[in-house]
This record gives sequence, C-alpha cells and structure tokens, in this order.
Amino acid sequence: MDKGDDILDKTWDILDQWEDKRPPRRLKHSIMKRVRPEKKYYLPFHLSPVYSMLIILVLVIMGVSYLKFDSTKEYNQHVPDTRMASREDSVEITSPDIIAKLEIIENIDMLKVLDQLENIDHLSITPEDDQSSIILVRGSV
Amino acid sequence: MSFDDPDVQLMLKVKEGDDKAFEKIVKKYQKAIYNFAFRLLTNEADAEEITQEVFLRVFKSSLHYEPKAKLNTWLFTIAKNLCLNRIRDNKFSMSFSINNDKMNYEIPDTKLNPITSLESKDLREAIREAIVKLPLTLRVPVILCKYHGMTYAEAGEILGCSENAIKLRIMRSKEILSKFLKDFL
Repeated sequence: MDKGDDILDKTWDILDQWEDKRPPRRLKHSIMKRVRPEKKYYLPFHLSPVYSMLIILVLVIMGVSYLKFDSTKEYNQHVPDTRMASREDSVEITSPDIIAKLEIIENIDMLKVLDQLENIDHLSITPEDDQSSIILVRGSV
Repeated sequence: MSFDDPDVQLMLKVKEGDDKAFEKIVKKYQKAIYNFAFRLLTNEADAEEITQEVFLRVFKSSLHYEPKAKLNTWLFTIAKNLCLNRIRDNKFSMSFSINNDKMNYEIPDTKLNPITSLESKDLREAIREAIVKLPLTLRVPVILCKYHGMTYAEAGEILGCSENAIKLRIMRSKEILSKFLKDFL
C-alpha cells in the first residue's frame, strides 16, 4: 500500500469522528401525531374484493326485491281489468252488434281496385259447374 | 424480498393497520433517517421535518406496500429525494430573495482556502464542513456508505446508479476530503 492510499484510508477513518446526533425526544411523538389524521382515511384496502362482493350482493338483493315488488304491483293492477273483461264477455251480444263493431275497410284505393277487378272482362272465368263435371267424368272412368 | 425479513413482517402489519408495528419502524429507523437528513442539510429543524415527512410517506404508501425492496433502502431513497428537493428549494428561495429584494445575504466564500479556514476549528467541525463542501453527487454516497454502513450496491440502488459509479465517487470524495482535512491527518 503506497502513501497516497494510506492517506485516503486515514481520511475515511477520520470521518467517524462526526458522530451520530441524537434525534429530539419529541420526534417519534410528532411522527405519530402526524400519522393519526391519516388513519381516518385508512381503510384496509386489501379487503377491497370483500367490500366489492358485499356491495354487489346488496345491489342484487335490492334489485331482486324491487323487481318482485314491481311484478306484484303489476299483477294487482291487472286483476280488476280481467274481472271486468270476464263480466263483459258474459253479456249477450247480438249479430247486428258484432257486424256494427267489425272494422270496415275504408281505404278508397282498395275499393277502386276491387271495382276494377270486377269490371275486367277479358279474363276467362271457368264456370264451377264445368269443373265439377270434369271431376264427375273422371270419377265415372 | 423474503417474507421472513422482520422489516417486511412489520410493514405487512402496518398495511393491515397495526399502529404498534408502525411505531416499531419509527423507533428503529428514526435516528438513521434524522442523521442522514442532518448530515445532508446541516440543519436540525430541517432534518426533523424531513424525518417526519419520510415516515408519513411510508405510512401513506403502506396501503400499497409490496415487499420488493429492503425497507432500509426504501426509507433512504425517500429521505434522499426529500433532502435534495429541500436543498433545491432553499437555493431557489435564496437566489429569488437576492434578486428581488436586493438584500445582503452572507454567501459562503468559495475562494477562501478551506484548509486555512479549518485550522482553528476542532476536528468534528472540520469534518462537517469538509463533507458539506463536497458536491451533492459525492456527498450523498459518502454519507450513505460511511455513516449508514451501506454497500456500494445499496447506495447505487438509492441513487439510481451502478455499484462502480459509487465506488468511483467514494474514491473521488476521499481525495477531496484528504485535501480539506490535511491538517488533521
């Protein structure tokens, strides 16, 4: 080891003379005091899957109970209607009433088309009697 | 990082909300962090404040703690960052005041021969002044390796550089310090 290295080593060793300082007694207390307000927001986040599962479960239960309530309400509203309908069914209806209630096609174009169809004269209309006679002839054979 | 490490065990307890575990960590490391900050900043009030801030940050981060690095290394990394920020802020505020208020601040005379200025002071004070005179890139590795028993690799991890870079910085620091402390050797 040469002289230069020896000086460097001595320098390094002499640095030990600057000893550690004792931290103030209040330091730990101050740290804990500063940490305390943070604890208010401290939630064990490693349990977050459990929290989320619980939230989902509660939401599902609420949803199911709401749907159940809704369907019951709907059923209760429909019950009087059906009763009324059954009462109406029991009323005697005459054929003129039925005819009067039938929906009449009032489409003018439709009526025009029907008229045109009636007035077509160049179509050969085979009389029903001829058809029946043919069938009869075949049957006899 | 091994889960058997006592520091890891303590941190996992802190993560679960164990106050006592956090108190144990504070008790174990407060002196080291305080002295690290004091040696870097040479101001007791600042060192105290930085120490508080380091542990507060550790507590806040404990929620997401994963045992990846040694607690020791993690604490010193936070402390180093906070100290460097403080030094930067102090320099900025000082230059800002000088430029704006035209006030006379006592700025250390860099031209003054350090050896002659140290002659009349005792060894401890001389060492303190010599270390403070080192540039930050050398000062931090010296403090970590000399006063906190860190290996070059650990210091490199804290400073974000290689083991060899730390080795070279320590060598350079020794050379500079030997000049500053020539009278005491």
